[in-house]
Amino acid sequence: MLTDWLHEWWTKLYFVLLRPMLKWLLRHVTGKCELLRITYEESDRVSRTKRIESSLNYSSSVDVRRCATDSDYDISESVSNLMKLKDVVPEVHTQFEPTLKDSLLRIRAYNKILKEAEALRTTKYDAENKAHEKQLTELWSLYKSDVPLPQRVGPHWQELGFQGHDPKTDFRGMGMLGLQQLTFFAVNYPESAVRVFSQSHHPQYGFSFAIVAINITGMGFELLRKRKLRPHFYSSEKAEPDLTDFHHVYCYLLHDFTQFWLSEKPKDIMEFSRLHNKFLKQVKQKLKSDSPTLRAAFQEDSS
Amino acid sequence: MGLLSLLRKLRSHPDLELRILLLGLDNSGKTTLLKVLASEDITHITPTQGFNIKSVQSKGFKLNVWDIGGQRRIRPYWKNYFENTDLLIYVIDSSDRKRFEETGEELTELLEEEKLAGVPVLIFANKQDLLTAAKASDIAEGLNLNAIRDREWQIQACSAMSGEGVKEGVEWMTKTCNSRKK
Repeated sequence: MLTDWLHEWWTKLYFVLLRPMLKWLLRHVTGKCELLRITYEESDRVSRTKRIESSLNYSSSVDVRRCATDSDYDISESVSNLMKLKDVVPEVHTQFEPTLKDSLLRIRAYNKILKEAEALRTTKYDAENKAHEKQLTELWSLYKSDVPLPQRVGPHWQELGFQGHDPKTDFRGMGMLGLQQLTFFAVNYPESAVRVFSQSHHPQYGFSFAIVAINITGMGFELLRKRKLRPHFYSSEKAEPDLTDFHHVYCYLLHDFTQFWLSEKPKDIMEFSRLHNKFLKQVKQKLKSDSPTLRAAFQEDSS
Repeated sequence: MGLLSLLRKLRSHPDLELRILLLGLDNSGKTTLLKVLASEDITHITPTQGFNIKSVQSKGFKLNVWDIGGQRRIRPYWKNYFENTDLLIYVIDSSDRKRFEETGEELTELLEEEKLAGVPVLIFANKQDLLTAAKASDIAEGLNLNAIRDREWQIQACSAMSGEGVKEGVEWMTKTCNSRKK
């Protein structure tokens, strides 16, 4: 409680008093605004974009904050307005405009991915919805191409690794995002998907494929929501990554988790939470490293 | 010594620790209940593969709650967690009438377990927020709970989603454990 209070007090002091004072001082000593200083100081795209993002988010001006958050605010217009607001002369600082534009594109793209993923996640699986039902039937044929779906409800779903006779309750808090990602894996990387699926039937280290996959959707979404995937997206070759790029991250996570699980030789399925957390820690470390791209060898050919 | 550890030392009574087992069929709401007990967000829940554990502080007790996955494949592992259990919470999805028989069988088996002999059981008739939910009294009758004579038991209607009834359940738990530990 005391630490909470101290922390709150310090945060207030920092943002209300110390930070503006420091910014004012630096601006007059260097003759450059914070954004301009960042573009000069940071050669690394990930840390540059992250710093630009927090500079915009913590700005006292609504107009400046909008540049990072408002998806309807045209990028070129945002950049020119920022330059006017901050008195940056483009002829003097030639790199400022393209650099800022690149960062803004990535910041906006990340926010858009999060918004779309959240919308899918909060869409509950609805057995009355024909499109949902169709997607579920498709899922069966993708992973069990040799066996036609016997019926809509039945114990056969457990072969795919669902808990009971009807998968509809297993998507839970991940909603349609869980189903869509599981489908995406099989459509885009059929060989790897089938391989991981058969690995889940390992006689000793087997696990419930669909349930683990939905938990991996949860892991990916948590990383996205807590903005931990920024290094991956801010360093990607694609300037404007979209939701499918988040699905690609999911494929990487599900594939690599399975390989990790097998290599750890777990005693039984009750080791899941422990190994889930251990794997997550490794992923977080990778995201903090110099090569923060979450991409496996099997993903190299496709985009 | 830091200020916080000093403050901790000044507290007169160390909390009594209780080991609580949270069981029930898959999709009955165990993990949601666990998160509600720990005052955590319940919108991102996924099916439990394996188990979750959380420690919750309540009225002088430290509740170590073990939430074990409920799917049929995991149920054989339940017995690995029976030892030293102070209290069993059994969760039922009151709207899943098709599986009342299955959930009754699992509960009966649990109550026959030697390692759980005499352990008080709290049955949560969960999902009361759904229109199709059966009443707690009907469930009690259907499962013939009145025949339980070898332990303290309680059935509590609740909705883990809205939080309704959860507090009453926790109160029964602490009251029961208080009288046993003294």
